[in-house]
Amino acid sequence: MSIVSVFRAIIYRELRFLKRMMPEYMSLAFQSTLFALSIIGIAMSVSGVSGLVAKFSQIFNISGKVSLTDIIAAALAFSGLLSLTADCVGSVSQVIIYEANVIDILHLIAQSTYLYLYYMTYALIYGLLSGIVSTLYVLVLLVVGLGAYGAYVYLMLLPAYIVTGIALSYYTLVVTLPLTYIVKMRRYWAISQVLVPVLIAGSGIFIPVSLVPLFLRVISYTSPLPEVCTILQEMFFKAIQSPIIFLMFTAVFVIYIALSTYISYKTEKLVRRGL
Amino acid sequence: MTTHCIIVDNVRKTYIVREGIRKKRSVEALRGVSFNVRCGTVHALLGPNGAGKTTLVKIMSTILLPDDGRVQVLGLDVVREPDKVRKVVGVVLDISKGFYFTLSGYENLVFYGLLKGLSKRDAERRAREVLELVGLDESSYKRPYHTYSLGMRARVAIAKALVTDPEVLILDEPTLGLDVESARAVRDLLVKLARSGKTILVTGHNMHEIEMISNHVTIIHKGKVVADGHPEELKLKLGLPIKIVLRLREIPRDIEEKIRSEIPIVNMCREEDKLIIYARGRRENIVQSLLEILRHNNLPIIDVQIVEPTLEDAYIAALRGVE
Repeated sequence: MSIVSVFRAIIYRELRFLKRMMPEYMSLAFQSTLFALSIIGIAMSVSGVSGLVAKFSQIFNISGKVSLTDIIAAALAFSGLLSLTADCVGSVSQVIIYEANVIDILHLIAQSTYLYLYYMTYALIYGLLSGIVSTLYVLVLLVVGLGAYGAYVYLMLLPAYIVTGIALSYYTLVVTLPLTYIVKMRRYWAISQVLVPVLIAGSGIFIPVSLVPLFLRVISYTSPLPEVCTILQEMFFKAIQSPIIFLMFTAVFVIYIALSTYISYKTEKLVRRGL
Repeated sequence: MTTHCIIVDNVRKTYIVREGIRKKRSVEALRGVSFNVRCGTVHALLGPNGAGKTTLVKIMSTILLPDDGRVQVLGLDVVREPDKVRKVVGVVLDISKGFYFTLSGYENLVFYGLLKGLSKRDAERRAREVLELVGLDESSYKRPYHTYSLGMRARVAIAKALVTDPEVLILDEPTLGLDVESARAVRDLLVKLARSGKTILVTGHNMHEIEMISNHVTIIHKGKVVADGHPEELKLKLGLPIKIVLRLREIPRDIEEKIRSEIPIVNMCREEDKLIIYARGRRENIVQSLLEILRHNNLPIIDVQIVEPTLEDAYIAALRGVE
């Protein structure tokens, strides 16, 4: 069956799931917002508004004037990455293991199409949809806080979210497929439970990377998050100082796609051989 | 045009089972299985658990690759032309699962239709048609799959196999665990589909049910075909005796001798006014000969009861023959 039919089928299924899972997305948005605001709140309670602004400018190397609204908007924008990571890594890994081991839907897919085509298309579509749906609350909050300018900021960030969503989905494919088909892991929730906090902690979204243990940082650096985080920060403050980061991200993205294609193809061979 | 819609030729399959991290063990699931399925018939594939039925079903439906041998469906090779085979085959593998639990049966079928290459409009139309065909009403369209009873799930599984209107249906234990009414509905549906020209390969353990619907039976055991043929032919081939209970007004002493000389008797005994005969051969020939002997000896019959061997007897005999 063609890639178009696989694409159409997955889009149909994901939109149906989305309809049923809206409360989960809302809860995810609420948690991410709460986390972002708590970080700002804690910092402010320790050093006051002026201290927070000074520290923030210092951390992100901002020379111009920064207001508290800017900081809150930035924190909310970065929180989109929390929501996006939790959604992409959690959903893609759980769906792959759940389909293979719990509901046994793999037969339905394997008798209809090629598995590598299915997995590659699924990661692309899920990353794309997640990039929009799991960060939609950022648009609402930015518009509330910054007015029309907030919408403009969100639209500027949206491509970064989408590309990150796709990269994270392929990254999850690379991690989850071997765990599902070679290690034959059954506790599918463990992947997202471990991976999501490690990736978020080591990427430098809210916690300075220097404070994170090296082991977690190393794991996080296998994902695209640290690069995306830097890109997002630089985009937000319109001060792109290291264009090389884009090059790094592109390279990482290409590696994920190449690796996930190879692993998906290997998975297909394993499944068809009945191993 | 070939009269065989499915050709299975010397198919072999070995699984490598991992035991621990390094230790591996190989299990031979199929050891050179060969048989053919004629077009427009219901062909039953029987065998005990672990005989290799499901492996064969998975190979026929392109889910698994055989290690050796050839399987053709409507002249298409399952290894070299899997895409084409997928278009002409509808499969039921496990009636209790195999769908997204949070989506409804209807949504699952539309997803499957789209995956199989139908347009959205066609997939939605076919999903409605097949759900109606298997007897699921519109109230089930919105309910999530996890709320369905086993009978409803079985119907959805068969509906899935029919979404693309395939010429060949491969059904692995489609009535397993169903209540009497649901099992009967599924059986009736299969007969109806076979009458409409579909070729059906079905596996199962309910011999009575299989005997009612199938035109041909293949029994496999430990990865090998141990018997193959029409259920009646199979009973003959395996030499299963027919039991005839004759109730006569009187039973002369020499009658047993006369019957033995005309009919291939396996066993014969008297029980009051009854003569119980176990004979091998075609039912009509045995009955004809028996009636002639009784008429010739002027022995009026009060009652006659003929008990034919069942498919279950043939199945057990075939398996015992191997062991």
